Amino acid sequence: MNTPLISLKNVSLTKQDKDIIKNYSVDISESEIINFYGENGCGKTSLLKLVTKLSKPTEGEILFRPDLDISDDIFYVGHKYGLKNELTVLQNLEYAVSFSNTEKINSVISELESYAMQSLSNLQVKYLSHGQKKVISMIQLTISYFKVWILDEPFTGLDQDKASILFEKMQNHINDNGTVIITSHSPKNKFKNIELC
Amino acid sequence: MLNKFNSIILRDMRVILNSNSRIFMPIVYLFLIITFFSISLEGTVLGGYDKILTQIIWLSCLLVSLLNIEIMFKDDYEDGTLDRIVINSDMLEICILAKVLSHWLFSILPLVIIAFLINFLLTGNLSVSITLFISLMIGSLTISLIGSIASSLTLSLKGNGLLLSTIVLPLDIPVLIFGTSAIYNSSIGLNYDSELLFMLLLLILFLVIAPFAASFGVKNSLD
Repeated sequence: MNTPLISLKNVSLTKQDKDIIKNYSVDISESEIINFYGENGCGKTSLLKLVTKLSKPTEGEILFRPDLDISDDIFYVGHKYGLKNELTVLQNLEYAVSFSNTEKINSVISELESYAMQSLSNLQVKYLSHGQKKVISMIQLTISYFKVWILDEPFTGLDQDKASILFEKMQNHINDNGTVIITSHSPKNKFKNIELC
Repeated sequence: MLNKFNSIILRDMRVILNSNSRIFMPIVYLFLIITFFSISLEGTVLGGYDKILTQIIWLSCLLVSLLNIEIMFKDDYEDGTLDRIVINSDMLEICILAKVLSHWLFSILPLVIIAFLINFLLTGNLSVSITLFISLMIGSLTISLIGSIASSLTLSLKGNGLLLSTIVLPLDIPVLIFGTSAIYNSSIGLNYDSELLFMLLLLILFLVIAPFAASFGVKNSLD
Protein backbone atom coordinates (compact mmCIF):
# COMPACT_ATOMS: atom_id res chain seq x y z
CA MET A 1 0.00 0.00 0.00
CA ASN A 2 1.22 3.51 -0.81
CA THR A 3 2.46 5.69 2.03
CA PRO A 4 0.04 8.58 2.55
CA LEU A 5 1.29 12.00 1.48
CA ILE A 6 0.12 13.68 4.66
CA SER A 7 -1.02 11.86 7.73
CA LEU A 8 -2.74 13.39 10.77
CA LYS A 9 -2.49 11.19 13.84
CA ASN A 10 -4.74 11.87 16.87
CA VAL A 11 -4.49 15.59 16.30
CA SER A 12 -6.12 17.98 18.77
CA LEU A 13 -6.20 21.76 18.66
CA THR A 14 -7.30 23.86 21.61
CA LYS A 15 -7.58 27.64 21.57
CA GLN A 16 -8.48 29.61 24.69
CA ASP A 17 -9.75 26.45 26.42
CA LYS A 18 -12.05 25.61 23.52
CA ASP A 19 -11.51 22.33 21.70
CA ILE A 20 -11.53 23.18 18.00
CA ILE A 21 -10.30 19.81 16.74
CA LYS A 22 -10.38 16.79 19.02
CA ASN A 23 -8.40 13.59 18.53
CA TYR A 24 -8.69 13.63 14.75
CA SER A 25 -6.88 11.23 12.42
CA VAL A 26 -6.90 11.17 8.63
CA ASP A 27 -4.60 10.03 5.81
CA ILE A 28 -4.30 12.08 2.65
CA SER A 29 -2.98 10.21 -0.39
CA GLU A 30 -1.62 11.28 -3.74
CA SER A 31 -4.01 12.02 -6.66
CA GLU A 32 -7.06 12.73 -4.53
CA ILE A 33 -9.41 15.66 -4.20
CA ILE A 34 -10.44 15.75 -0.58
CA ASN A 35 -13.34 17.85 0.59
CA PHE A 36 -13.54 18.50 4.33
CA TYR A 37 -17.09 19.65 4.89
CA GLY A 38 -19.10 20.72 7.88
CA GLU A 39 -21.00 23.58 9.39
CA ASN A 40 -19.49 26.94 10.35
CA GLY A 41 -17.00 26.87 13.21
CA CYS A 42 -16.29 23.14 13.14
CA GLY A 43 -12.58 23.62 12.54
CA LYS A 44 -12.20 23.39 8.73
CA THR A 45 -9.88 26.39 8.37
CA SER A 46 -7.97 25.39 11.51
CA LEU A 47 -7.40 21.94 10.01
CA LEU A 48 -5.98 23.45 6.81
CA LYS A 49 -3.73 25.73 8.86
CA LEU A 50 -2.41 22.67 10.69
CA VAL A 51 -1.62 20.92 7.40
CA THR A 52 0.25 24.01 6.12
CA LYS A 53 2.12 24.21 9.47
CA LEU A 54 0.83 27.74 10.01
CA SER A 55 -0.35 26.52 13.39
CA LYS A 56 0.85 23.69 15.59
CA PRO A 57 -1.42 20.99 17.05
CA THR A 58 -1.88 21.00 20.83
CA GLU A 59 -1.61 17.22 20.77
CA GLY A 60 -0.88 14.55 18.18
CA GLU A 61 1.35 14.78 15.15
CA ILE A 62 1.24 15.52 11.45
CA LEU A 63 3.50 13.38 9.28
CA PHE A 64 4.57 14.33 5.78
CA ARG A 65 5.94 11.83 3.25
CA PRO A 66 9.75 12.37 3.20
CA ASP A 67 9.82 13.49 -0.45
CA LEU A 68 7.27 16.26 0.25
CA ASP A 69 8.91 19.63 0.91
CA ILE A 70 6.32 22.00 2.38
CA SER A 71 8.06 25.17 1.23
CA ASP A 72 8.23 23.99 -2.40
CA ASP A 73 5.26 21.68 -2.83
CA ILE A 74 2.33 23.24 -0.96
CA PHE A 75 0.24 26.17 -2.13
CA TYR A 76 -2.35 27.57 0.24
CA VAL A 77 -5.16 29.98 -0.54
CA GLY A 78 -7.10 30.95 2.57
CA HIS A 79 -9.94 33.39 3.17
CA LYS A 80 -7.57 36.22 2.32
CA TYR A 81 -6.70 36.19 -1.34
CA GLY A 82 -2.96 36.75 -0.99
CA LEU A 83 -2.91 39.57 -3.56
CA LYS A 84 -1.49 43.08 -3.22
CA ASN A 85 -4.21 45.67 -3.88
CA GLU A 86 -1.74 48.25 -5.21
CA LEU A 87 -0.28 45.95 -7.86
CA THR A 88 -1.85 45.08 -11.20
CA VAL A 89 -3.12 41.56 -11.89
CA LEU A 90 -0.07 40.86 -14.03
CA GLN A 91 2.37 42.17 -11.41
CA ASN A 92 0.70 40.03 -8.72
CA LEU A 93 0.97 36.91 -10.85
CA GLU A 94 4.58 37.69 -11.80
CA TYR A 95 5.38 37.93 -8.09
CA ALA A 96 3.62 34.58 -7.49
CA VAL A 97 5.85 32.96 -10.11
CA SER A 98 9.05 34.58 -8.87
CA PHE A 99 8.34 33.51 -5.29
CA SER A 100 8.13 29.82 -6.13
CA ASN A 101 11.07 27.46 -6.54
CA THR A 102 9.08 25.17 -8.77
CA GLU A 103 9.10 25.23 -12.54
CA LYS A 104 6.77 27.53 -14.42
CA ILE A 105 4.28 25.38 -16.31
CA ASN A 106 1.82 27.79 -17.91
CA SER A 107 2.10 31.37 -19.06
CA VAL A 108 0.27 33.99 -17.04
CA ILE A 109 -1.61 35.25 -20.10
CA SER A 110 -2.83 31.80 -21.16
CA GLU A 111 -4.14 31.14 -17.64
CA LEU A 112 -5.95 34.49 -17.61
CA GLU A 113 -7.43 33.59 -21.01
CA SER A 114 -8.67 30.23 -19.70
CA TYR A 115 -10.91 32.14 -17.27
CA ALA A 116 -11.67 34.81 -19.95
CA MET A 117 -10.07 37.50 -17.79
CA GLN A 118 -7.18 38.64 -20.01
CA SER A 119 -8.70 42.13 -20.31
CA LEU A 120 -8.06 42.71 -16.58
CA SER A 121 -4.32 42.05 -16.73
CA ASN A 122 -3.22 45.68 -16.36
CA LEU A 123 -5.85 46.66 -13.80
CA GLN A 124 -4.90 47.20 -10.16
CA VAL A 125 -6.33 44.46 -7.94
CA LYS A 126 -8.13 47.01 -5.71
CA TYR A 127 -10.55 47.70 -8.60
CA LEU A 128 -11.60 44.02 -8.94
CA SER A 129 -14.70 42.44 -7.43
CA HIS A 130 -14.37 39.76 -4.74
CA GLY A 131 -15.15 37.02 -7.25
CA GLN A 132 -12.53 38.30 -9.67
CA LYS A 133 -9.95 38.48 -6.87
CA LYS A 134 -10.78 34.89 -6.02
CA VAL A 135 -10.20 33.79 -9.62
CA ILE A 136 -6.84 35.61 -9.73
CA SER A 137 -5.78 33.90 -6.51
CA MET A 138 -6.74 30.53 -8.06
CA ILE A 139 -4.73 31.33 -11.21
CA GLN A 140 -1.62 31.42 -8.99
CA LEU A 141 -2.07 27.64 -8.58
CA THR A 142 -1.69 26.77 -12.21
CA ILE A 143 1.17 28.99 -13.40
CA SER A 144 3.75 27.13 -11.32
CA TYR A 145 3.59 23.47 -10.36
CA PHE A 146 2.72 22.81 -6.74
CA LYS A 147 2.04 19.21 -5.80
CA VAL A 148 -0.48 19.94 -3.05
CA TRP A 149 -3.17 22.61 -3.33
CA ILE A 150 -4.81 23.59 -0.06
CA LEU A 151 -7.85 25.75 -0.69
CA ASP A 152 -10.24 27.20 1.85
CA GLU A 153 -13.76 27.27 0.33
CA PRO A 154 -12.50 27.74 -3.24
CA PHE A 155 -15.93 27.68 -4.88
CA THR A 156 -17.51 30.34 -2.64
CA GLY A 157 -18.01 33.57 -4.59
CA LEU A 158 -17.35 32.08 -8.03
CA ASP A 159 -19.99 32.01 -10.77
CA GLN A 160 -20.94 28.66 -12.28
CA ASP A 161 -18.65 28.96 -15.32
CA LYS A 162 -15.58 29.89 -13.29
CA ALA A 163 -16.36 27.16 -10.74
CA SER A 164 -16.53 24.51 -13.46
CA ILE A 165 -13.24 25.73 -14.97
CA LEU A 166 -11.63 25.50 -11.54
CA PHE A 167 -13.08 22.01 -11.05
CA GLU A 168 -11.63 20.98 -14.42
CA LYS A 169 -8.21 22.34 -13.40
CA MET A 170 -8.41 20.33 -10.15
CA GLN A 171 -9.15 17.17 -12.19
CA ASN A 172 -6.16 17.88 -14.46
CA HIS A 173 -4.00 18.43 -11.40
CA ILE A 174 -4.80 15.05 -9.83
CA ASN A 175 -4.17 13.36 -13.20
CA ASP A 176 -0.77 15.02 -12.97
CA ASN A 177 -0.09 13.25 -9.59
CA GLY A 178 -1.20 16.31 -7.63
CA THR A 179 -3.39 16.41 -4.55
CA VAL A 180 -6.14 18.91 -3.77
CA ILE A 181 -7.47 19.54 -0.27
CA ILE A 182 -10.48 21.83 -0.01
CA THR A 183 -13.11 22.78 2.54
CA SER A 184 -16.78 23.52 1.92
CA HIS A 185 -20.15 23.44 3.62
CA SER A 186 -21.56 20.40 1.83
CA PRO A 187 -20.37 17.13 0.22
CA LYS A 188 -19.50 17.40 -3.48
CA ASN A 189 -19.78 14.97 -6.38
CA LYS A 190 -16.57 13.27 -7.58
CA PHE A 191 -14.67 14.42 -4.45
CA LYS A 192 -13.60 12.28 -1.54
CA ASN A 193 -15.87 13.81 1.09
CA ILE A 194 -14.94 13.77 4.77
CA GLU A 195 -17.34 15.21 7.33
CA LEU A 196 -15.62 17.14 10.11
CA CYS A 197 -18.44 17.42 12.62
CA MET B 1 16.47 31.47 -1.50
CA LEU B 2 18.03 34.56 -3.05
CA ASN B 3 15.30 34.74 -5.72
CA LYS B 4 12.66 34.97 -2.96
CA PHE B 5 14.69 37.73 -1.29
CA ASN B 6 14.82 39.64 -4.58
CA SER B 7 11.18 39.04 -5.45
CA ILE B 8 9.99 40.49 -2.10
CA ILE B 9 12.11 43.62 -2.60
CA LEU B 10 10.94 44.04 -6.22
CA ARG B 11 7.29 43.57 -5.22
CA ASP B 12 7.52 46.08 -2.36
CA MET B 13 9.17 48.58 -4.68
CA ARG B 14 6.28 48.22 -7.13
CA VAL B 15 3.73 48.60 -4.31
CA ILE B 16 5.41 51.86 -3.22
CA LEU B 17 5.65 53.14 -6.81
CA ASN B 18 1.96 52.41 -7.40
CA SER B 19 0.88 54.28 -4.25
CA ASN B 20 2.60 57.67 -4.27
CA SER B 21 1.38 58.84 -0.87
CA ARG B 22 3.39 56.10 0.86
CA ILE B 23 6.72 57.64 -0.15
CA PHE B 24 5.73 61.29 0.36
CA MET B 25 3.92 61.11 3.72
CA PRO B 26 7.07 60.46 5.84
CA ILE B 27 8.84 63.33 4.05
CA VAL B 28 5.92 65.68 4.75
CA TYR B 29 5.99 64.59 8.42
CA LEU B 30 9.72 65.28 8.57
CA PHE B 31 9.20 68.80 7.21
CA LEU B 32 6.36 69.41 9.69
CA ILE B 33 8.33 68.26 12.77
CA ILE B 34 11.41 70.30 11.81
CA THR B 35 9.23 73.37 11.17
CA PHE B 36 7.41 73.03 14.50
CA PHE B 37 10.70 72.61 16.36
CA SER B 38 12.10 75.68 14.59
CA ILE B 39 9.07 77.86 15.37
CA SER B 40 8.94 76.86 19.04
CA LEU B 41 12.71 77.00 19.74
CA GLU B 42 13.77 80.04 17.67
CA GLY B 43 15.29 82.66 19.96
CA THR B 44 15.11 80.49 23.08
CA VAL B 45 18.37 78.56 22.67
CA LEU B 46 21.52 80.09 24.13
CA GLY B 47 24.15 80.62 21.43
CA GLY B 48 21.72 80.28 18.53
CA TYR B 49 19.22 77.71 17.35
CA ASP B 50 21.49 76.46 14.56
CA LYS B 51 23.77 74.92 17.23
CA ILE B 52 21.16 72.21 17.90
CA LEU B 53 19.52 72.09 14.47
CA THR B 54 21.36 68.94 13.33
CA GLN B 55 20.38 67.04 16.50
CA ILE B 56 16.77 68.13 15.96
CA ILE B 57 16.86 66.80 12.41
CA TRP B 58 18.25 63.49 13.71
CA LEU B 59 15.50 63.29 16.33
CA SER B 60 12.81 64.16 13.75
CA CYS B 61 13.99 61.32 11.51
CA LEU B 62 13.78 58.93 14.46
CA LEU B 63 10.21 60.04 15.27
CA VAL B 64 9.05 59.72 11.66
CA SER B 65 10.62 56.29 11.27
CA LEU B 66 8.82 55.19 14.46
CA LEU B 67 5.51 56.25 12.91
CA ASN B 68 5.70 53.90 9.96
CA ILE B 69 7.29 50.88 11.61
CA GLU B 70 3.80 49.52 12.25
CA ILE B 71 3.14 48.97 8.55
CA MET B 72 6.23 46.82 8.01
CA PHE B 73 4.31 43.51 8.13
CA LYS B 74 0.75 44.79 8.63
CA ASP B 75 -0.28 45.06 4.96
CA ASP B 76 1.11 41.63 4.13
CA TYR B 77 -0.65 40.21 7.19
CA GLU B 78 -3.99 41.69 6.22
CA ASP B 79 -4.00 40.73 2.54
CA GLY B 80 -2.73 37.19 3.21
CA THR B 81 0.58 37.46 1.36
CA LEU B 82 2.41 36.92 4.65
CA ASP B 83 0.83 33.43 4.91
CA ARG B 84 2.47 32.51 1.65
CA ILE B 85 5.84 33.96 2.68
CA VAL B 86 5.75 31.85 5.87
CA ILE B 87 4.57 28.62 4.18
CA ASN B 88 6.73 28.78 1.06
CA SER B 89 10.09 29.83 2.51
CA ASP B 90 12.60 27.27 3.70
CA MET B 91 14.39 30.06 5.62
CA LEU B 92 11.85 32.60 6.83
CA GLU B 93 14.66 34.71 8.35
CA ILE B 94 15.95 35.61 4.87
CA CYS B 95 12.47 36.78 3.80
CA ILE B 96 12.10 38.80 7.02
CA LEU B 97 15.45 40.44 6.26
CA ALA B 98 14.13 41.27 2.77
CA LYS B 99 11.03 42.87 4.32
CA VAL B 100 13.17 44.97 6.69
CA LEU B 101 15.51 45.99 3.88
CA SER B 102 12.67 46.95 1.55
CA HIS B 103 11.01 48.95 4.35
CA TRP B 104 14.29 50.77 4.98
CA LEU B 105 15.03 51.34 1.27
CA PHE B 106 11.62 52.70 0.31
CA SER B 107 10.34 54.37 3.51
CA ILE B 108 13.44 55.45 5.45
CA LEU B 109 16.26 56.04 2.94
CA PRO B 110 14.42 58.91 1.15
CA LEU B 111 14.06 60.54 4.61
CA VAL B 112 17.79 60.22 5.29
CA ILE B 113 18.66 61.84 1.97
CA ILE B 114 16.15 64.67 2.52
CA ALA B 115 17.47 65.18 6.09
CA PHE B 116 21.01 65.51 4.72
CA LEU B 117 19.87 68.10 2.17
CA ILE B 118 17.84 70.11 4.71
CA ASN B 119 20.76 70.18 7.13
CA PHE B 120 23.23 71.26 4.44
CA LEU B 121 20.91 73.99 3.14
CA LEU B 122 20.15 75.37 6.62
CA THR B 123 23.62 75.17 8.22
CA GLY B 124 25.91 75.22 5.17
CA ASN B 125 28.25 72.88 7.05
CA LEU B 126 29.18 69.96 4.79
CA SER B 127 31.27 67.94 7.25
CA VAL B 128 28.50 67.91 9.91
CA SER B 129 25.93 67.09 7.22
CA ILE B 130 28.02 64.11 6.11
CA THR B 131 28.28 62.91 9.74
CA LEU B 132 24.50 63.28 9.99
CA PHE B 133 24.06 61.25 6.80
CA ILE B 134 26.39 58.42 7.89
CA SER B 135 25.02 58.20 11.44
CA LEU B 136 21.44 58.28 10.15
CA MET B 137 22.16 55.55 7.60
CA ILE B 138 23.51 53.22 10.31
CA GLY B 139 21.03 54.35 12.98
CA SER B 140 17.89 54.10 10.87
CA LEU B 141 18.77 50.59 9.68
CA THR B 142 19.25 49.53 13.31
CA ILE B 143 15.92 51.13 14.23
CA SER B 144 14.19 49.29 11.35
CA LEU B 145 15.63 45.99 12.61
CA ILE B 146 14.47 46.72 16.17
CA GLY B 147 11.10 47.78 14.75
CA SER B 148 10.73 44.49 12.87
CA ILE B 149 10.83 42.58 16.19
CA ALA B 150 8.23 44.83 17.80
CA SER B 151 6.07 44.94 14.66
CA SER B 152 6.03 41.14 14.35
CA LEU B 153 5.11 40.67 18.01
CA THR B 154 2.16 43.06 17.87
CA LEU B 155 0.95 42.01 14.41
CA SER B 156 -2.27 40.29 15.41
CA LEU B 157 -3.27 42.92 17.99
CA LYS B 158 -5.70 45.68 17.16
CA GLY B 159 -4.58 49.21 18.10
CA ASN B 160 -1.04 48.02 18.57
CA GLY B 161 0.64 51.44 18.24
CA LEU B 162 1.11 52.11 21.96
CA LEU B 163 2.52 48.68 22.74
CA LEU B 164 4.79 48.91 19.71
CA SER B 165 6.28 52.24 20.83
CA THR B 166 6.74 50.90 24.37
CA ILE B 167 8.77 47.97 23.07
CA VAL B 168 10.79 50.01 20.58
CA LEU B 169 11.67 53.18 22.52
CA PRO B 170 14.00 51.73 25.20
CA LEU B 171 15.91 49.78 22.53
CA ASP B 172 16.23 52.90 20.36
CA ILE B 173 17.77 55.05 23.11
CA PRO B 174 21.39 53.78 22.68
CA VAL B 175 21.15 54.45 18.93
CA LEU B 176 19.85 57.97 19.65
CA ILE B 177 22.61 58.70 22.20
CA PHE B 178 25.47 57.61 19.93
CA GLY B 179 23.91 59.20 16.84
CA THR B 180 23.42 62.63 18.36
CA SER B 181 26.76 62.65 20.19
CA ALA B 182 28.57 61.80 16.90
CA ILE B 183 26.95 64.91 15.43
CA TYR B 184 27.85 67.05 18.44
CA ASN B 185 31.49 65.90 18.29
CA SER B 186 31.61 66.58 14.59
CA SER B 187 30.15 70.09 15.04
CA ILE B 188 32.85 71.11 17.58
CA GLY B 189 35.60 69.48 15.54
CA LEU B 190 36.22 66.42 17.73
CA ASN B 191 36.75 62.85 16.54
CA TYR B 192 33.50 60.86 16.28
CA ASP B 193 34.82 57.46 15.10
CA SER B 194 34.11 55.71 18.39
CA GLU B 195 30.42 56.73 18.30
CA LEU B 196 30.04 55.46 14.75
CA LEU B 197 31.82 52.22 15.69
CA PHE B 198 29.42 51.70 18.59
CA MET B 199 26.52 52.31 16.22
CA LEU B 200 27.95 49.77 13.77
CA LEU B 201 28.25 47.30 16.62
CA LEU B 202 24.58 47.80 17.51
CA LEU B 203 23.66 47.37 13.84
CA ILE B 204 25.55 44.07 13.60
CA LEU B 205 24.02 42.89 16.89
CA PHE B 206 20.47 43.51 15.69
CA LEU B 207 21.27 42.20 12.20
CA VAL B 208 21.98 38.86 13.88
CA ILE B 209 19.12 38.88 16.40
CA ALA B 210 16.24 40.61 14.59
CA PRO B 211 15.56 38.17 11.68
CA PHE B 212 15.26 35.24 14.10
CA ALA B 213 13.20 37.11 16.69
CA ALA B 214 10.92 38.65 14.04
CA SER B 215 10.31 35.35 12.23
CA PHE B 216 9.35 33.80 15.57
CA GLY B 217 6.99 36.74 16.17
CA VAL B 218 5.44 36.48 12.69
CA LYS B 219 4.83 32.72 13.05
CA ASN B 220 3.21 33.29 16.44
CA SER B 221 0.97 36.04 15.09
CA LEU B 222 -0.30 33.82 12.26
CA ASP B 223 -1.06 30.90 14.60
